[in-house]
Amino acid sequence: MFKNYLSIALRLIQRQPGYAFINIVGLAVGMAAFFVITLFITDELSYDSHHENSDRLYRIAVEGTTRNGEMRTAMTAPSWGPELQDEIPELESVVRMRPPNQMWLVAKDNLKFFEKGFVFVDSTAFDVFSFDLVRGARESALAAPFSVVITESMAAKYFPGQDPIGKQLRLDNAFDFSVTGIIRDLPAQSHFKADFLASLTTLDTPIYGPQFLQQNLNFAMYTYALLSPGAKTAEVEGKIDEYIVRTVGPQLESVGAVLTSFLQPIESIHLESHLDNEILPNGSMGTVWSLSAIALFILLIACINYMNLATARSASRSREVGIRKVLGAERQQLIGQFLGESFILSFLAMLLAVGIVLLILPSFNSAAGTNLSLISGGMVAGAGIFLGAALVCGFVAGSYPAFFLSAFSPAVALKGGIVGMKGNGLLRKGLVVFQFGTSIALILATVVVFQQLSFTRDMDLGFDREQVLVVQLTDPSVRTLYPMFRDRVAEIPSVVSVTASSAAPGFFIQNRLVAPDDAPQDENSLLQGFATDFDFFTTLGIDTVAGRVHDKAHPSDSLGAFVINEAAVKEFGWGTNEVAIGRRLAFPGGNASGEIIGVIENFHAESLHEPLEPAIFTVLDPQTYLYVLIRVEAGSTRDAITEVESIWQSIYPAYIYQYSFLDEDVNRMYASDITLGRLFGGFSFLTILIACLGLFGLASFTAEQRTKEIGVRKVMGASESEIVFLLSKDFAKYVGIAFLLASPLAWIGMNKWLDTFNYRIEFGIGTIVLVGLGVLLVSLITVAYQTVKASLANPVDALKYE
Amino acid sequence: MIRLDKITKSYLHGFNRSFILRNISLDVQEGEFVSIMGPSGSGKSTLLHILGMLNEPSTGEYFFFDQPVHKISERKRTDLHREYIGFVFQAYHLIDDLTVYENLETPLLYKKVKGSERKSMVAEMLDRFNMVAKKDLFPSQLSGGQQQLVGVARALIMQPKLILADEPTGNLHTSHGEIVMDWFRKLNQEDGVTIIQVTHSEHWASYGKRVIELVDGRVERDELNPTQASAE
Ligand SMILES: Nc1ncnc2c1ncn2[C@@H]1O[C@H](COP(=O)(O)OP(=O)(O)O)[C@@H](O)[C@H]1O
Ligand SMILES: [Mg+2]
Repeated sequence: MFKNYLSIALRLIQRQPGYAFINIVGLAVGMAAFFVITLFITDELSYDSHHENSDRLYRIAVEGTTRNGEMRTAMTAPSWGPELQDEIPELESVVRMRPPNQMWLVAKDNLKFFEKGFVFVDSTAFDVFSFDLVRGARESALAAPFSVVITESMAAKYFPGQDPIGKQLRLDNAFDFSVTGIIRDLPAQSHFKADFLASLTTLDTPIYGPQFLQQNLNFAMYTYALLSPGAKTAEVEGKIDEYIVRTVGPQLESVGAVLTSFLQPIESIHLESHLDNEILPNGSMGTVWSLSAIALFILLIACINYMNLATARSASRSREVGIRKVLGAERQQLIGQFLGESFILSFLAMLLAVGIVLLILPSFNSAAGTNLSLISGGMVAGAGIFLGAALVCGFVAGSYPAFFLSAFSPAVALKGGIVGMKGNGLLRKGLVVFQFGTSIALILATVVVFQQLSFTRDMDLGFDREQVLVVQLTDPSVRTLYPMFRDRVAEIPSVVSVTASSAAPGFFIQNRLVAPDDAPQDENSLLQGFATDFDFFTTLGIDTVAGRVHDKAHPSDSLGAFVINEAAVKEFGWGTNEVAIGRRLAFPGGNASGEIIGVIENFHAESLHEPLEPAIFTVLDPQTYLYVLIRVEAGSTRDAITEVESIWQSIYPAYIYQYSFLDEDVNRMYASDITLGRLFGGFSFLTILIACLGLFGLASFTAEQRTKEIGVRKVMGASESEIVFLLSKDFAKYVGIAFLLASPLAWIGMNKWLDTFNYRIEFGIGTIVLVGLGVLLVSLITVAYQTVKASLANPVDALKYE
Repeated sequence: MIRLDKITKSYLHGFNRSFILRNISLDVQEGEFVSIMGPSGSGKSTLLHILGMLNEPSTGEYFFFDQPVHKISERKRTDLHREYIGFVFQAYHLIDDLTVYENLETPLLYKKVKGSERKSMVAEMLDRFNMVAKKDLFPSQLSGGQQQLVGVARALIMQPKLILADEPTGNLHTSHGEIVMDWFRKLNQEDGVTIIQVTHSEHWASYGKRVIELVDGRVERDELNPTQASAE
């Protein structure tokens, strides 16, 4: 019997290749999109699940309020970890981890690389995390200061063909570490990157400042805890809070802060944690959800094609049902036949889909910034998902003929099932409307994302981001020599100006508590703090609106002179910019205070998702500068880069020259938005492609069904264009209805997304109508081939068929 | 073999109930060759479908080999029908996507006949109908007469006791019609297969021994065929 079904299914392909092509390719493209998204989602959901005890492994995080608002940070103070472990019995093991601020220069003789994965960890790391130690001793490898355990790929990178154990690696041109062990590489699905595990005891040496490990209120450490089995997180959190109150309570109180701890399950961090100071940019549950929805929609749309074409063919299929029943078929056997056929086609589609996945995965990876592959991860689970999708599609797509047609009594079925057929026209129309509605919604979403992105790209951020080179000052020894570097760079003819700052647009900006002298006790404001060199504002093209900015000619500017932005004037409630000049400000807790010498225009240093913040600018010593900003004359950028590099090499021969362009740094803040746009774009293209494939098939069946009507109309004198109009009208109507249903939903959804930006576009009727017309045009072009063909047919041929 | 008792068939047309068969009572013995005649729309096909268990009567009783068809389950009806009844249609009703061979094989598949036996049964039919050379062709590649022969062969392959034929020669040239009807006569006379055919033409009706005429859903005439009798 199966052979009979198989041959029917294959005959179908042979005898109606167009029909089969639309079915199989449409389904395959839909499945491919579904598979790719499934791979992506599985990858996102698998983060940190490789730790053996991931179900009781938590990161300790802190939230609370200061007088300036909320704070939620992933970091804790260095002294907490061991003290918590000592006093809370439910903490089976605690590990502290300190990744580098930016990058470390790691060197083995002449092999030098900047490394992001150089982390300091307690020796308990091996108890808490599932690091796979292949060389070295678990107990002692991370005990002594200046020990480092490296991954296999780092071993290969720095010690090709040698045994690394006992050899030295030099950090930051200053500190020598000896390799005490080798671990397997961490899976990519980890919320932190660790290629080098250095002993945390090393930090008794003041790499991060003196007494670093004893600090109890400097949130500069990540602390992870393995809870004992059965421990209640709420109880543990309560005990940690007691510890916080007991040890640092008075200090917190003095600055008006209330802090409590919370435990984050390690597997939830990648998708759900969006705290300050995350180690790496995390994913988002929102993206996972919206992509899941898209995946299901695309698959559904592909199944609908199949169903639609099946219903269009139902007259001839129904005759077959009648015959088979006359020949002794039972209903179950017919259900089996139709489902079997459908499964065979969907299985073929699945094989094709695997090919398409292999084809589009590289583009997806580059669009989404992922590194997915078909072979990675659980192959068995993957194959299961593929087969499952094929079965579900086969079932959904085949269910109409299988359950509906097979129920006809043979006498009815033999007449083409006239009685039952009225309803399926409506079903078919409904399904087409659904397909085009989804396409329109997705396309609208894509257009809106790209409009918003180009808006952010073109918006006047209040500073000139073009033609500015950013050179990073990665570590203290480099920063010490900054003045020499600056003066040499300034001499390059194509360099307009040079400055440096502790923060730059597109990079992390530290907030500082600031209070006007006359403010009541404890009334502080949180301002973005920039410690800048002179010429900061001229280099970035930021205008002064009152007073003046820091100037070399005024030596006192380096001591206690502040520049603030207009938003800060508003924050302090001073009415006009002029009023601010001469007022005094202080950093609470410290002794630094000074006078406001000028007010500058607002500029957006953070992404437009964030509101514009008040900011304060001071001139300080070079040790605080992390970025050199160099404005270069247009047209000579390339020369400037090389000249700056040669100056760098002569001053810092041991360090790698790293630069970027400010406009790129700014755009990087929208990386996840750009990814979203690209993904929406790609998938909406696939959606409309599949929907049009279906429409094409449907148009050919409609034209075929109406052959006689067309013939009669032509005989009665209808022109070809009238026939084309007649046939296109229906399809235009479906698209129109789809548009009316989908555009309000898309409008609501996209306004929600736009609301995540503090500065957003308004998208109006114009965009919506344009998308609607575009889709209408594409759908009419799709059906044009069939309608024109039908209209050109000789009426006599058409009528002969009766 | 067949006993119909006060069979009616009606459909709702809007608010009106229209009667297609009214109070049909008749008996058919095993081995008969019956021709049903009558004007278009008089209910001939409907009657044949009821006899073939493809359609259910609205009221009345139908006994097939003393089995009360009007009462038994769908399942049992399918069994009866598979076992005893073969159908031949005016429009041939072959499955377009299957070859001649596969069309012949299909009823055997539903009857779960074993592979080797199936092969020999199909081969025998192909042989009997001189269609061995055409076994791999699709219906659309055959002439109407050839298609109807496949239809007849398919009806016969199950070795039914009863063949129901709805205008089997309606679409055929006379010469092809003759071939089909000769087959029916042969089956009836040599193998004792009961045949009930619907036809419009006196000529084809004359192959049968008994003629029933339907008019407006009523049996108008039911008599032994005079031509047939004289030809005997
Ligand atoms: N399923 C049905 N629903 C309603 N009317 C039907 C149905 N099937 C047949 N008829 C009507 O029953 C009448 C008899 O049909 P039929 O038995 O096919 O006649 P014949 O074969 O004698 O030409 C016709 O008027 C036809 O329109
Ligand atoms: Mg009829």
